[in-house]
Amino acid sequence: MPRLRPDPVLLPLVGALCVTPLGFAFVTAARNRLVSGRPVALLEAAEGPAALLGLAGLALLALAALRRGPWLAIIAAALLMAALGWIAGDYATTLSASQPTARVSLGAGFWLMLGLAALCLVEAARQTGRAGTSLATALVAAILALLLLSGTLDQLSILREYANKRDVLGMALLRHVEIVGLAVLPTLLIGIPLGIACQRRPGLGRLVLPALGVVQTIPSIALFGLMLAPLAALAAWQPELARAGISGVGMAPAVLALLLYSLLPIASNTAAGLASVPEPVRDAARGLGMTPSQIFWQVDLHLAFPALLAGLRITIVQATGLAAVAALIGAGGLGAIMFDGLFTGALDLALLGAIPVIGLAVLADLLLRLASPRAIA
Amino acid sequence: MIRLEQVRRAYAGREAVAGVDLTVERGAFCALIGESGSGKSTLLRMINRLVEPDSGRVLLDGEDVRSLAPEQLRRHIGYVIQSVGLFPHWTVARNIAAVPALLGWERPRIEARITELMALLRLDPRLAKASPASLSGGQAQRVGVARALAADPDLLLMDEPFGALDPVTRTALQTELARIQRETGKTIVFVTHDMDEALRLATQVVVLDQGRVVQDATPSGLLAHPADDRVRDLLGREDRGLRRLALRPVQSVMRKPGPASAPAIAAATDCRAALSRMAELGVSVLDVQDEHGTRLGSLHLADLIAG
Amino acid sequence: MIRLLRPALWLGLLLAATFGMTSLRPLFTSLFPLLERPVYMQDSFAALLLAHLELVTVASALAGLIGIAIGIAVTRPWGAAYRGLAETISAAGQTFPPVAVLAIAVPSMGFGPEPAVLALLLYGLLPAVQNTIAGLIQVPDAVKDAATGLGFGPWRRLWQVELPLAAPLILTGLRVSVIITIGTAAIASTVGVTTLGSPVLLGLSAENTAYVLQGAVLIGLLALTTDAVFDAIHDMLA
Ligand SMILES: Nc1ncnc2c1ncn2[C@@H]1O[C@H](COP(=O)(O)OP(=O)(O)OP(=O)(O)O)[C@@H](O)[C@H]1O
Ligand SMILES: [Mg+2]
Repeated sequence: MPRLRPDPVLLPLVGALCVTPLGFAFVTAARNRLVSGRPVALLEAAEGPAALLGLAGLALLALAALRRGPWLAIIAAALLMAALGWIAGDYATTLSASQPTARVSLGAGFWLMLGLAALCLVEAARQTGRAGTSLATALVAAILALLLLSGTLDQLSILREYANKRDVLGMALLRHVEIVGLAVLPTLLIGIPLGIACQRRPGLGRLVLPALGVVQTIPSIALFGLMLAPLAALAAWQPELARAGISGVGMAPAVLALLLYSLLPIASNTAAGLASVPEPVRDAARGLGMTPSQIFWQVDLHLAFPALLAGLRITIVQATGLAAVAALIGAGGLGAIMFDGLFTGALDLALLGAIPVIGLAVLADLLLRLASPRAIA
Repeated sequence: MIRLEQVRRAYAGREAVAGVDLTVERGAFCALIGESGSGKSTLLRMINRLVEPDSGRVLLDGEDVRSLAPEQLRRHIGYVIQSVGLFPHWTVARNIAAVPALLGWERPRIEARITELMALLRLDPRLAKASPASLSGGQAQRVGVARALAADPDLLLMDEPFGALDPVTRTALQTELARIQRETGKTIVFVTHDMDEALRLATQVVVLDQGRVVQDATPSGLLAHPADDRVRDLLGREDRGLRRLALRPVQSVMRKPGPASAPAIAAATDCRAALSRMAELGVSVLDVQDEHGTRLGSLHLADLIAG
Repeated sequence: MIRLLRPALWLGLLLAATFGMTSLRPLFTSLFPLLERPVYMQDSFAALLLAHLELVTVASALAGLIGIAIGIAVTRPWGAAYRGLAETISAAGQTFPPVAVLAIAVPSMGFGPEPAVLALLLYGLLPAVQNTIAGLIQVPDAVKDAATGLGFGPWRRLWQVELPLAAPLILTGLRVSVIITIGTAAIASTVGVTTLGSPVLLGLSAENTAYVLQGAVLIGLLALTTDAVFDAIHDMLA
């Protein structure tokens, strides 16, 4: 029998997974949407094949943690995550069969266990490198798809909210992407030339980049607030503008503020990327007889491209979050659903808005990282 | 032929090059040597217009370099620098092809040239698709030289090309460069800190100090008649005699073959190595032989020293 | 002294705006003649600033301390196994928008200031951990070797060599953490915490642009003051 080689990271995580159900409610069950729920422990909620799957996942995970088997750990953690969703979904289905208005919400225990299992997954994937990361990502996507498409989760409160709000959510998602897109595209058109100019004329850079830094420092809610009054005044002064959709609230101030925020990462990353081109490389390019524009297009821009792409990634991720705050000034989007939930105390509605915001940000981050060039020509 | 006439260049009021006249003949191998900050790089870079002189003229084959567009000029002059400056986002092959591509050569001709140059610089053909980051220092500098030679320029400018290399790699590349210069007859202007490198490779040594030419001579002329103490310092006072010996092949001082009792030495050896061999073996006579062991002559300590 | 000028200037503006906002009533009346109550009166602006500062200070101080401690721990030989996980989480976590984290965390722990502090703290940890790790691992091995060779013990080496060399990056992490916390704390008024965000929110829902403006100006000034203070500390370190 192979000797035990406990993994110093996974083992404590597994330990925490074992004690969490004792201290935190797994789900909460309420008689209807509006009253607060009764805590339900994991041991009370878990039954049938879902419980068995959970036990199997946990046991395999413990084995992997004791024997340093990161591949096993990936699979075990994924199984455990699947089981957690299945148990919660089953409980909700059973309960709503007898009490149609009952609402089952995911509790702190569920989220903690899901988080711990995700940490195990991340750590194991990290240990196995690229292939493990791909496997983990694929497993999580597959499990999520399976749980959602099979209807296992349908009776959970958050999915019931989703069922009610499906159309609204779709529209909000589109609106959200629209706000981000409307802000980021002009930012690229302004920010990249600005970054190039800042790098070429250090004097300009010392003036412009700190100014954009100040804008970044101002919290979003304040910047939105500060845009409100001047734009409202503008609209009052020029009614044509108001008819064109410019006013203190809505898309206009949101897009404008997002544009201002986005200028810094784009411009400063462009400038930094250009500044990172080694001087000997430029000297050699000149010495070989490249014209300034050839040096710019064939050398500078290529070498600055990863930094530029990183700037774009930061910008989109940031704008996705800021667009959620923009709902406060009536720009709509996912933030509207989120704040609606917060203001009315409907936790599941807030989740329904917040989760896609995170999803969008993570997705944008992932795609732009994948697009980042590593190969050479 | 390169001709510099009274060229000057100042930075922030300080003269980096302070009125230099210099002629480098076609096919010459000219070494610019001097202390750090003496203006070697500035002088070199004036030839391909990477630096413009404040006053004076630079003539290539009688034509003022300012009459040519800088980019066109540079595409016909090879340029190699110490930090190599390979384009990190291009493969080795594409780096070598940089100037031919700028000149609009046809694809097959470029491919053929890459193969030819990689062979000339003894680069493994498998490196063609490699990224510059994966090369050793010596390999990178070979690629740098190949890139400079790609469009077959008549003139090659090199700024401390081997400065960052270890002694073994450096010697190997010096030998390659000497061979390439012999085979192609190119004019080379070469900046170096290393007197031995200058004496070994150059046909013309130009000593600079504070932006002025202190001496412009052949290696043996320099050793025989250093212009002043600054040159003597560069030559290394104690080593001067040895350095002079190093410039001379043994065949130039050997006598008729004597009695066959002395240890053998190859005919291609220089006098310094021969002296070293005598000291090592404790003898005063060596037998000079060619690669087939044919006895060509005998070498006597007295003749070495008499020079 | 020149260094302290900029933070002092911003601080002066912040305090002047906090205590002088009410006396600007005539200005707001003339700007917004249709509003019955042109100045926010539910709480004094000083109280709002204090509440905001308290929330930010508690969350940021804890985030900074814990974050630096985690960063140090995972760069020691005995904690090295956790470094990968810490780096991955602190980088990935920051792609989560702070508003969304607030919106998920606070309601699930119950509304009010304590859950808000906890959410702000958790989010503020990420840049602190990330930059502490980055700062400590960029200290050249040769420097660490030299320190050990000269007879520095591990803790003395950390304190006298590694941390001073890592200080600028750690400071950057703390600055990012604090600035995010200030902004997110303002949004925390949506989950029932009284902060400088409260006038903005009330103003938005009651269509009282004057309230919005008053809150926004103070939040902006607080952030700029804090940023200037970090700038001054950074200059002093350099
Ligand atoms: N672009 C520049 N800007 C300002 N000063 C310069 C510049 N280029 C050269 N100099 C100055 O001109 C003088 C000569 O410089 P140069 O680079 O020609 O010296 P060098 O002999 O090549 O020295 P090294 O052996 O260190 O390379 C130095 O004092 C240097 O500081
Ligand atoms: Mg130089």
